[in-house]
Amino acid sequence: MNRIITTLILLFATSTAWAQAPYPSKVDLRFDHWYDYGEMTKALHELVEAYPNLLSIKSIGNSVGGLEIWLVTLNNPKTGNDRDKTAMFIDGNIHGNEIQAAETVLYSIWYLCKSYGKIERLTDLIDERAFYFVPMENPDGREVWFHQPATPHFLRGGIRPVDNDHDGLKDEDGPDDLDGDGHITSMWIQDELGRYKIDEEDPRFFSRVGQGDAPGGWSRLGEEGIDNDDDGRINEDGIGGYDPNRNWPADWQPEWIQYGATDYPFSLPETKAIGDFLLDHPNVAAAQSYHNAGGMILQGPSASYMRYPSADNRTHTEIANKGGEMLPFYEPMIAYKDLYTVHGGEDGFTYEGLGIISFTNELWTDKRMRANGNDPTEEERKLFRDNLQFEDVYVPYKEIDHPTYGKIMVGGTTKYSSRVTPPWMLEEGCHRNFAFTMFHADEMPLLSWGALDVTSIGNNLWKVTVEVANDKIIPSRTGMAARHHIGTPDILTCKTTSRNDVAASGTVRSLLSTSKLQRIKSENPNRIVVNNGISGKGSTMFQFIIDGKGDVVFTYVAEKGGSLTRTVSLKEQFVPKPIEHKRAISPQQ
Amino acid sequence: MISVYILASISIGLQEVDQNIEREWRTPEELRAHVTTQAGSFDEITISTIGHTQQGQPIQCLEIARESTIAIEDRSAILVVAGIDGNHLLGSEVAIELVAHLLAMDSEATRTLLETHKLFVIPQVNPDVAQHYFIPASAEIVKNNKPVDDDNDGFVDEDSPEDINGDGHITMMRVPDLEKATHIVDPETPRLNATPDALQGTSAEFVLYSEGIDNDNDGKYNEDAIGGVDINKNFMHGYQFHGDGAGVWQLSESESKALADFAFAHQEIAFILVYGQHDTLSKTFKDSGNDNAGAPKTLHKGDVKLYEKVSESFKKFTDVKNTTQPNWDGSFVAWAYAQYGVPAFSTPLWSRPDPSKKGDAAEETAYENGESESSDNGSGRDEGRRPGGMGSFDREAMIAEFDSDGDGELNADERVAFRESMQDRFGGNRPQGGGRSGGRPGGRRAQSNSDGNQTQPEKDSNLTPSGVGDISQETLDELYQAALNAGYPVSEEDMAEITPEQVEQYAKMSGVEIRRVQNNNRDEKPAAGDAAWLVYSDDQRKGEGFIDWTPFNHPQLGEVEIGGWVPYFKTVPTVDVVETRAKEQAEFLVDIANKLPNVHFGTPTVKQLGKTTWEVTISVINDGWFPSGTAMAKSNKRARPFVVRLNTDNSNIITGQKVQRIWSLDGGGSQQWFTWVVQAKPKSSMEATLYSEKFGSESVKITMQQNNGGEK
Repeated sequence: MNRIITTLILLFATSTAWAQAPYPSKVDLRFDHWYDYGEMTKALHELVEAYPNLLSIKSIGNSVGGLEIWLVTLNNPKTGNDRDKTAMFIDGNIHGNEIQAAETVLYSIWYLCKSYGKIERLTDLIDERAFYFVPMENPDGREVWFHQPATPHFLRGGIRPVDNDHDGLKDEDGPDDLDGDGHITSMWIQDELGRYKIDEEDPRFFSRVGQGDAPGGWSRLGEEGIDNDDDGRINEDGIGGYDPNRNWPADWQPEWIQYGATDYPFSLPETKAIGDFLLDHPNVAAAQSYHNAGGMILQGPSASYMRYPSADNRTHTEIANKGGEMLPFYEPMIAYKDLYTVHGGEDGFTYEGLGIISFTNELWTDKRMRANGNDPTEEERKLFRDNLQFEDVYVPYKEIDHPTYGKIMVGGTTKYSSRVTPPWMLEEGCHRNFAFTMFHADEMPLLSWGALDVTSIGNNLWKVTVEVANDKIIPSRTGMAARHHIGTPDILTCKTTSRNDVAASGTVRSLLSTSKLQRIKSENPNRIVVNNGISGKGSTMFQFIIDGKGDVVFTYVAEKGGSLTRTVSLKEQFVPKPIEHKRAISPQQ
Repeated sequence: MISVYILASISIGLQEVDQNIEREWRTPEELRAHVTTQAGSFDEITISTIGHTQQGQPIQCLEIARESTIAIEDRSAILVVAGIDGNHLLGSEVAIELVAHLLAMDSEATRTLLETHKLFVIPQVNPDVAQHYFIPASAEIVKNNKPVDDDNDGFVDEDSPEDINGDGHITMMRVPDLEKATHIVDPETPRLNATPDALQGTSAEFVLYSEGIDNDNDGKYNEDAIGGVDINKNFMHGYQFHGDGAGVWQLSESESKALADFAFAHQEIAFILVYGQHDTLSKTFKDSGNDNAGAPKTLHKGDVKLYEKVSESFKKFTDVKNTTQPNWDGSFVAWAYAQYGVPAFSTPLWSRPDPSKKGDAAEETAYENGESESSDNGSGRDEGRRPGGMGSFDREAMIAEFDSDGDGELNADERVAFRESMQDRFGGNRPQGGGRSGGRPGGRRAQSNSDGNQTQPEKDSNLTPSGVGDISQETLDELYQAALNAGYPVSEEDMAEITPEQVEQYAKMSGVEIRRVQNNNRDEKPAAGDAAWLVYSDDQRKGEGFIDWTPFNHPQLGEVEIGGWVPYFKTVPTVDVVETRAKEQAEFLVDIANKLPNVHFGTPTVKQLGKTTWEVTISVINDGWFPSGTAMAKSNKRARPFVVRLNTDNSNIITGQKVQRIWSLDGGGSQQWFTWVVQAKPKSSMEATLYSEKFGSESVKITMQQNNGGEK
């Protein structure tokens, strides 16, 4: 008996000693759960309270309905101020019905915090960069999905009253939950000429009769509701009628060209708040928005007539392709080509307006039902719905009395039946998307000094070559930023003393003697404006012809990519570019 | 003070607005004070503030309406907006002064405007920029003070122009720097600059900078002045993202946002008139195709006629000539028309007037400038030297004169003498420095022909250029042939050296018609415009519009010449123009008011179909002149429709939609008909309502009994 107990105690002891993964968080959050506005607010604040050394939270504005738009900053102040670091902006749920976007953002904050100090790779990332998270861009729409009878598509927009049907009244006839089951489903009526029948094989549902067949006896009346304003139409003007993701300034087009755009860009407080924040944070070099559904990693352009600089297209594609590998069944796509034209969308603005490499991910695809990359067949869908979701995604039809139509059947699929990730598959989806954004974040520009060469070319005359390198995919100035002079260009300065002076400066292709200085003619050769920045996975060799002796100090300042300083003594020297492999095997000699 | 003076004259109860006020351009503060005082004197005026500028100045709005049976909230409105362009002082003054004229006009005439409709006037949207006019030695500014790194060098607003020679104006500098040179002195008009033409043998001699020093020592001059955003580029239609002066995004500026928000808050606005740099009224305004997204860039094709007609109306009241059309993109008027969706017009109210009398003007210039008949002054004007009778040429006499060896013919030497005499007699200039033929715009010279023969020469692009002005080679050939036929001793060398003036004279003598080649030289168009401004400045403004080039020793550039157009000269006229325009515009607005849509129900017809079954028919009529919506508004669904409702339970309606919409109704009495078949007790009644966000509402009671109804 003692031996058994000892063994058990030993086993117990050893098992706790091996409890490395998963790393526990100080805040116990579940990711098989959807958080309404109140719960999400609470979760965010709990995280901030639990990780004050990494997180802070503020409201950047209020929605139309007065709810807060929360922004969480993740930064390690010990390695610098967030504004001094290159940062990534991650948001979601601009469409109120695309709810799992917020959980994905929440997951990202949660996972990063609990990994800090435990997973070296993420610890390095957090020390090096800053993150801004806005989990709920459209809290009003989200609350409608959670707490009002809703559908998978409702509420996409916001609650500002709009006269959708141009009858002089606003929001006067929306859907109604006639059977009180908390869902907006559909209405069916018995109709001798109806083209639908109760399906013989699966009498839980209606199905359409064949082309030449006799009528099935049923017709679909439409979405659950009554003619609230007695104009002969049902549900023609409910809450909503605009699309916050068409309210951004870049390529903004009016309503008749782009449905949902409202009167002018940033007319909505939700979008304006984010626009103002981003304008004020030029250190943001990567942006990610989450939507549902479809399993897509979307990059611009969003309109066929937009032309992006090809280098930026390549940057976007390279990162998106990696995402495609990390997210099975997600496809990298170009918005206007592979999806549809969008005028005034958020990622169009962050890239075209602010020069930030941006993606929109459409979370969840039905292909995940089968996990073989194919769209599920009818049979496969049935299996998923009945045996994996236990029929919990539809309401069986029941008869009610409709004020206009009389006896009708009401029922059908609910808001859980499509677009939203089934809760038991949510965490993996969150993790993979989060991991993609971490890859993107890691590939934001990170500038470093490359090689240094000082050669004497005469009496106290020096050719000083300083290389500025960027080993990441994203350049410090995107082609869009360079082309349109967005923000401040990179600046390289050589600070001289009374003992020395810069005669000329520019760039060189190489250190070979045949490579002549490509001089930038300027009154101030001490200062080079680098509008194109340092390209992705590349470097630029700047060369200064300096007269004199002693030391000079080089400073490279970039809005995105960091700032560098280096003191160089004017004496013959060559320092190669330091190559650093993190976590490489390096035996001590 | 001026504002007090005006107040006094009105409060004495004069019927006429005092025409003899000593006027000066008023600062934004003075304008606001004047408006406030005016509002105090008239019941019809209510003022409000629609927003504030970047520097905190209030943006005033006047609502002008007279009490009547129609509630003021239910009336459709005309909006007059001025001073969006910060350099357009005239518009703001006229916008304010026209109100006084309006209220002093005969009551009957203004009834429609003041009692059926109402008028909004926002006189100065951009006072922050307008006040630069009053700052001594300011450049002509259109952008506000928002910090913008114009030259993308990482520094913001670090190098603005200065009045370095202390003449009280910021003009231009001609800097002789052959490496950077871009211009030459215009050979026609030395005060102007021209681009060189290597084929003419000219090469650039100087570079032009605005006046000032290089504050940031970067070798560039005044390349990043303070500011800013041009409010009139900050609107949604044609907005140029990242454009120069466009602002960080649409409506980023408080002034433009205030104006847009005002428009949205007042959907009853049915007509907008902008006083500013754009012109849709003095010239035919056309459609110019669609942009990338499919919206008409300027006008919708279906509105071209409407704009023509309004333009005709406008010209009856106000005559503005020689306007230039700045870029339409991002302007308020463009947005008001294409997106807000109402007829929207713009006029600068003034531009360079035509010369008082063509020939006289030229001659005056010649004498005033001290040009003598035979001097080669380089200005190219020789009209003053044109001899009187050119009539027929006495060939016999001429030959006799030059036939020194008496053989009845002219040999080579004799012909040389003959040629020179012809040149002297008929005003052929000795070739001017830098190009004798070809490059000179002969067309212009033809227009200044004082006998008025060829003021509007026809231009034909199928002809061959000859290199002599824009005279075609075909004409020269004809002339040559005619000369030969007539026995004139004209040789090919003569033809090779012929000048446009000689061609004109010979053509007259020989009866050959001068055919000119279509002039595609783009350099000439601006020169013509600026040269015309010089004529205006010299003739009618005592030369005060242009500062002659004066040498100056620049601390950084050495010897330069400073001169050029006086800021605001081309945009701000003499202040007497205000009074004329204010009166004209008040009348124009009354004219427009009487043309606004007047949409109402016709008399309903009821036909009994059965005991309790009735056919109800009613029409909606627009007997104004304007359609209720432009073709653009119809396309963009921006104009909210008229909503026609039959107020009875839907279940009582057997046929017909209970709620129907009219997106647009043409004027001139156009009608749209609505019919329902309803079920109701005899003698019961139901209401039909007509609702419009813009044009007010109406309801009519329809009784269920047979009637013979209204007009059909």
